[in-house]
Amino acid sequence: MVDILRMGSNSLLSLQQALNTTGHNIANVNTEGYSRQSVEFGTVGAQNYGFGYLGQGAKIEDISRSYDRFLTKQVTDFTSSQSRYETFVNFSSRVDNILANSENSLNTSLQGFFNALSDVASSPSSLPERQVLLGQARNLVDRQQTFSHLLQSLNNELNTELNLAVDEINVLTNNLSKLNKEIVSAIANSNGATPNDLLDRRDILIRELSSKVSVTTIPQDDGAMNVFIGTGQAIVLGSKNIALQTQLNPYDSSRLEIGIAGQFNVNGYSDLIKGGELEGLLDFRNRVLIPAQSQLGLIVSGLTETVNAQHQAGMDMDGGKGGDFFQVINPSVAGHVSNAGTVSPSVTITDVTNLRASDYLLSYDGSQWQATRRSDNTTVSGAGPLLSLDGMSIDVSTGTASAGDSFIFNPARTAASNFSLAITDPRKIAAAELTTAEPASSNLGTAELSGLTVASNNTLPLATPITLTFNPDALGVGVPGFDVVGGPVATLAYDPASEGSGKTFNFSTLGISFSISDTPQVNDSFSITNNTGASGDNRNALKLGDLQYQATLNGGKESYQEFYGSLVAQVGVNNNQANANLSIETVLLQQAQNYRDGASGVNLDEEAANLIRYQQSYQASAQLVKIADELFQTLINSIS
Amino acid sequence: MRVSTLQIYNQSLASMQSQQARVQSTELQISSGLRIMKPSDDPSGAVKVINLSANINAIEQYSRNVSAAEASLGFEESVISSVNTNLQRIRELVIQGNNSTNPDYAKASIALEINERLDELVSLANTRNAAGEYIFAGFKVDSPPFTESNGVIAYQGDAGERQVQISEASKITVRDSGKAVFQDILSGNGSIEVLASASNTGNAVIGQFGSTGGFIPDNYTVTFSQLNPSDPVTYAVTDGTGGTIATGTYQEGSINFAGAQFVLSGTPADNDTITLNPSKNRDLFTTINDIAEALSRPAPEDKDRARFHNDMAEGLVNLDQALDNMNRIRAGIGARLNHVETLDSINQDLKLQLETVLSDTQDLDYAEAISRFNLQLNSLQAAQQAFVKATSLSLFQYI
Repeated sequence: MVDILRMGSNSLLSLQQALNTTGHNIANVNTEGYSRQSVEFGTVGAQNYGFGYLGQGAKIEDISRSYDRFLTKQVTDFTSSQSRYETFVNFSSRVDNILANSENSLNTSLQGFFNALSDVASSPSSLPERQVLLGQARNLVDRQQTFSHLLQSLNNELNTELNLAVDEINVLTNNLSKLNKEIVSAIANSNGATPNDLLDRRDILIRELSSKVSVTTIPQDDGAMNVFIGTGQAIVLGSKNIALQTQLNPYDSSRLEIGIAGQFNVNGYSDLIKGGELEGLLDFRNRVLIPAQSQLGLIVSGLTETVNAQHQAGMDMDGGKGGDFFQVINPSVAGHVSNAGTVSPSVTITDVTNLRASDYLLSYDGSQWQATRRSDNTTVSGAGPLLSLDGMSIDVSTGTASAGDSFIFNPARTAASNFSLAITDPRKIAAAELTTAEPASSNLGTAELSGLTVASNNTLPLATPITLTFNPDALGVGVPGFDVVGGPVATLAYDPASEGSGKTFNFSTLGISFSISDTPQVNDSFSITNNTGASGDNRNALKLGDLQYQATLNGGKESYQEFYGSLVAQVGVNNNQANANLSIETVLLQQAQNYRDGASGVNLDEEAANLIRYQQSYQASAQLVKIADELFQTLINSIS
Repeated sequence: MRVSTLQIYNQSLASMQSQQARVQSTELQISSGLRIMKPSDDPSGAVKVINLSANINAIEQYSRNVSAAEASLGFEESVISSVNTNLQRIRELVIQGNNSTNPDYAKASIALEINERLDELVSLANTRNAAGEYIFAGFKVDSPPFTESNGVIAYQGDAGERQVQISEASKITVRDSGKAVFQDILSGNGSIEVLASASNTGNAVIGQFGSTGGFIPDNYTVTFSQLNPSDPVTYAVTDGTGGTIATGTYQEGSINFAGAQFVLSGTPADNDTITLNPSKNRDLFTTINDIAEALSRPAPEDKDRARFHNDMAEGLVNLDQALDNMNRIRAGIGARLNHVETLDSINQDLKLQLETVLSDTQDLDYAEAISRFNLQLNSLQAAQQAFVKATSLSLFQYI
């Protein structure tokens, strides 16, 4: 009877625990990452009474949590990749939106500039049109700068986000290391019973951590969990954590890189970072932000170079030689922080057609310089002092270099933010040409002089007018040509019989070229003179306008407008892809979460059923106590 | 499969949120009327939109340029037309004046009118447009191109001709220089000119002249000689270097040499000369000035009358050359106006086409969008109802 009573009361106590656990489950139905717990009953060892073994009732074996390591790992992994694309999309859709605004579109202002140029060409002597052109040019500059500032502020924001993410990672790893310590001691103190709620809590922290950066976890025998990032860099080892930090890019102080506290590497570990918000941020910077800045800069550099070159070949309203229209922007060169030499390389743009929107690495090995285009690792090397690559000339003659020095430059990345107008006076717009060519009124032949072109590096104005006079014996008897007075040469060979379809001559010392066609008569002459008083001349404005459709950029394949189009396409495609990836990863994460919740989550109906089950068992056990009591009473009563 | 309570809430919520996002994006499309809201919606479409808008914008600029070109060409045409009227009148006056029966005073009054017409021509040549530019000054539009000094009207402009871009590929000249209009007019018949020396003492008058394709360009001089009044008049032709290329005995009628010929009537005196040169540029004002001068010169003797007739004949052919030149210029303007108009209509057609393509690319198909919108609203509603139903059941209600 005592046994029955003990069995009954043991059972009551166990069932109370079971009800308690059910209550715990119900209470945590909304707790993120909570794993359903269940009580596992077992029989109490039977006792041999000689006639056989008699059961001694039930006891609680364990309180276990419904946990599947594989499902939890899946959730962690998908959290990483989802968070990576989410971060990427958040940033890249901002660039997308900036480009989407047609009012702000660079293209609109580019078109406005060339339209105003066309109006100046229609009335070159009118000041209002010139004023409008300057206004449109300023507008173009402003748009470019606004755009470039927006990109710059995205970069600043990105740096802030990197800092925040690294701080959060450090807080999380710190908490993880503390939890590890608690779990290890909880397990040791309870003879191996698992501290379920602490384990859940650790899983949540690991999941949060994986939304920042992809992690690998390795459970230890003592219950601790070690956490690694990248290619095996530990950030939590048992009860210790290793903090991450942000550090400046060695070449470019506007970029932050990821470093590891206590393991200083001047170049940082950014390349090793995979997954999570950190990769999303770094990926956006490398694939969208920097290319967009570079390509925008390329348009600006191209415009600056080509417009300036044509403008310098022209003449302003006061008869002066055209100057720079836009301020010249030379690429800035950034040295590595640990450079030992005093060399300060400078880069000048020699041919915009061949410029590429890429970073370049310039390094010195003690005897040779090497310039590497980083987009595809094409290299040029030489001993200096001049290297040329992709339409740039690199001068390393200033200062002395020491082996191992390295520099990074980009022909265009900072161009857009440095874009500015060089002229403010509308009279200084060079719509006219510097020289003019005229046939003499007395000419009798059909010869024409046309295509008079002035180079940007001309040495005009002319000191004396140049006169070309046709002479059938100019270069000896029977060798026809022009006698030249005032020019850099004394004669020009021209045979109307064989060269009548047009022959081009180039006075390279003056920077002018022209062509002559058809048949001159003896003594027919042409004069090339300084173009004085020609305020109605619009030839240079027309040539400036031609730049709009010239395929200047990308190896002479794309006009500015087309190049801008490909920039927009690139950003659009990137964002589009990232969006597609994001929705795939979101679905995958939801699925993984579903599987995990299916296995580990609390179902209230199930808990209600458990409540009823345990309650009924409890009632039955109570009956057992009551019957034991009645049996006892029966016995007492029969004795008394 | 086991389903946790939280799952029911989370999943329904996620599905409702994604449906709401779709509803919102369709709503944005409908309210803006645009299919492409940002480049990532359709990257290739977005680039197409950029290029199409730029092309349309450029065509609009070309239209503006076309209007400017038409105005400029039209203005020049009207000035040339007035020049023509004046030239016709001068031509009439020349014919009227070139009559031996005209007394000196009648010729002088004709000369007076011609001089007035000349002044008018000069002022036409110095015409300024609405922007204050001298339209016949070439590029030197700020100063009058034709100025008089010592009775000579000289051209101060240059040979520049303004061009305007009227399509991506073509520029058109919208203005001719004064040099082309008034200066570069070939003398004589356009190939050769035949001039009697002003100091001739005979009464020979030059009639028709001409040349064949075999003409050897050079400056020829025909010198007449008659040693005694009873001798026949002979002539010798020398070329530019002084070499004699032909000789003959003079008789009324034509003289031929070097692929050229001219008709002479009357009798030249000893040492009279006539020169035959390839045509050269002779400006309109000099031509008219010479005519007026010839008319105002008294002609008391035979030799003076012969000189007068020669001068008037020369003036007349030069005037005809000038009229020819004006007609050429006018024809050029007409052809260019035509070209401009054709190009403009091509541009307008192109613009219409581009706008259609642009609209196809970026504009929303409302019918499709609205039916999509309704579908999305319906499925959102269904999801909401399903959520309420699924969550309203619980075993706890029955305990």
